[in-house]
Amino acid sequence: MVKFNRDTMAGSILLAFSLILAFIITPDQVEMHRSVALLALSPRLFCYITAGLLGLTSAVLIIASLKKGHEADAHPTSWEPLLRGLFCTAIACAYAALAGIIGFFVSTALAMTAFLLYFGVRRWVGIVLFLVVVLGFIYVLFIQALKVVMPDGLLY
Amino acid sequence: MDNLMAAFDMFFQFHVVAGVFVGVFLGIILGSIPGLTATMAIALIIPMTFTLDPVVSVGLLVGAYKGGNYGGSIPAILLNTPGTPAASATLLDGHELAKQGKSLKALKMAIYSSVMGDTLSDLVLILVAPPLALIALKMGPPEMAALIFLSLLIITTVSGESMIKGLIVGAIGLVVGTIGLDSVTAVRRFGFGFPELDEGISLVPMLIGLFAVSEFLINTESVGMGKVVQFFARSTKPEDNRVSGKEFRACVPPILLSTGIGTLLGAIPGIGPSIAAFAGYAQAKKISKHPERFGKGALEGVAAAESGNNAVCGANLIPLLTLGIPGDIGAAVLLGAFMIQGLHPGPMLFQENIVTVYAIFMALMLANVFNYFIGIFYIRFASKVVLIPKGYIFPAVLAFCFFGAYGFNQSLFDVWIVVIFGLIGYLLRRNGFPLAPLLIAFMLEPILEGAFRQSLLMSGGSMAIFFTHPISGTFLSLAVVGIVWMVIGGIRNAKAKAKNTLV
Repeated sequence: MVKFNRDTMAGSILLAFSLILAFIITPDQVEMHRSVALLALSPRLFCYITAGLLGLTSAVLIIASLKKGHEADAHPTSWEPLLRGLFCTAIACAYAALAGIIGFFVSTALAMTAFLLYFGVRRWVGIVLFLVVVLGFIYVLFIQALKVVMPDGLLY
Repeated sequence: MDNLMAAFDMFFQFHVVAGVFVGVFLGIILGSIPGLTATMAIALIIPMTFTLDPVVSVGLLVGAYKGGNYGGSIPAILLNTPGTPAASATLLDGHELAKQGKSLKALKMAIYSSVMGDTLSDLVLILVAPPLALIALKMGPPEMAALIFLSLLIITTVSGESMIKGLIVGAIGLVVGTIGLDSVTAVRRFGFGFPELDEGISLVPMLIGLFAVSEFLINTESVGMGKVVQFFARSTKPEDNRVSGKEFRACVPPILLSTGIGTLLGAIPGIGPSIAAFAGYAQAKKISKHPERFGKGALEGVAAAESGNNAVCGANLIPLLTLGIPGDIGAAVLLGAFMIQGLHPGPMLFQENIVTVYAIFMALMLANVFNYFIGIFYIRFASKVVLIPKGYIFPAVLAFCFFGAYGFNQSLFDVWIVVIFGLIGYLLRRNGFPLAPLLIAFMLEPILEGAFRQSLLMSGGSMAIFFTHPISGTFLSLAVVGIVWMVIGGIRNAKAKAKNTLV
């Protein structure tokens, strides 16, 4: 019986992506000039080559992983670490989104507080001191020294 | 000679020397914190270099690269946790010495051998790079395309545990590289309505996402699962805290051997410092009069591992500076920094910016001197720094990633690039895909595509041009031989595994 493992799943996703890339995204997103008669001048040439390469290698991964499918059962996958990683990605997304709305420094303070709590830091004095030091350093480096203009937010 | 004098004038200025010093200092500290790799150190430092002169900027980053590589040995010896993957071989004997109360002796040997390996490798770079660049100048588009194809093949197949996974991420890197305006027809490719993508994916946000944010996300998985750290008390005997002349002399042969191996392997694209360190360690064990001591606290083991992984630093710059092909992630990140500063590594760099190249060579040598002095000073306090809780480090790292990415183009779009590539890097690493081929393929895609299409134009669309030109034909033959060899090796390994399973 064929057993799927993580490599089979990864290979299938990548193979599907390469097919979508070759047959849907490339024709839709890369304009083809009618005047381009020579293959070498076609802007789609390398897109098709790279999509084909990705598809081919993904197919090889699927075949190889199906052959050793039984080995994967010895190491059952735990979803908990992945969910933790994805949860933190969601916080990072919220951080990026809020940076343009309420301002980079306030959103950084909020995100860092969230991550400090997530990493198990519970002492409020430590958190406040940490925020002051890190945000102060960032302010001096990026605003004062590098003259970076931060996006306008509701706050700062 | 005039060029050399001009390079002296360019290099020996306070801000340039200070840049190298700060780079080495930050590299050693960041490299010594478990979880923060040398590559991550460079990725975090790059945003600070936007407004600096090219030589200051490159000096700072080269210093961080070298300092980070050495810094990784400190937690390997003290905590049995390599600060960087390249220091994995160092802990085999380094931590055993720490258990015996000889951590200071091991740390001192690590810095002596790192600096020796690094310096000798830099000398090879300085001697080999200029003549190699002259040869590289004679290569036309078919030769360039074939060379990049061969290099990418080597990089993708040796950089991870799985050859096929390396090839897949290499292909992903090429796909990402096609985003942006086509260089021949100026047609928009994969723009999805975002004008920010016309110039392609910005390198700095991408590498910050791939290497720093993915590392951050990997670490968020292990909250509350950190292993208990145990420090071993230092011996009070003076002889346990220093390297005697006799001990040093015994370590010279393994250092030279390992440096030779590291330099040779480092010059081949794709073979990073980890492989060089283990290869050097294994050979040093073979020539040792007391191989049984290896793994039980042999000072030669520390010397071989450290000289091997540091010898890669200079040698890695040979393909980077002469051909524009980065040998590993660290060199790829340096390539990005060069490009940001308007310098394009490759044979033309030696024609158009020879003074800058000489100044970079000087920066490399000075970085070794700083590496020694800062390292010797820092090891006395290192035990305090390596124990800074991750809970404080990683939120700060993420904030620096976001500010650094934003500061590059002052665009929030780049912050989203960081998040997206952080997630991609995280998911790829979780599934055992190496990231180096993705970055290197992405950076080489424009050159490969340009050379490939130019070759087709020259030949009127015939692929035969790649085989009829002797140099490109040789490169492609080597690639074919390599593929056949790897496939046969893979089949043999699979058969051997199946046989073992049955037994």
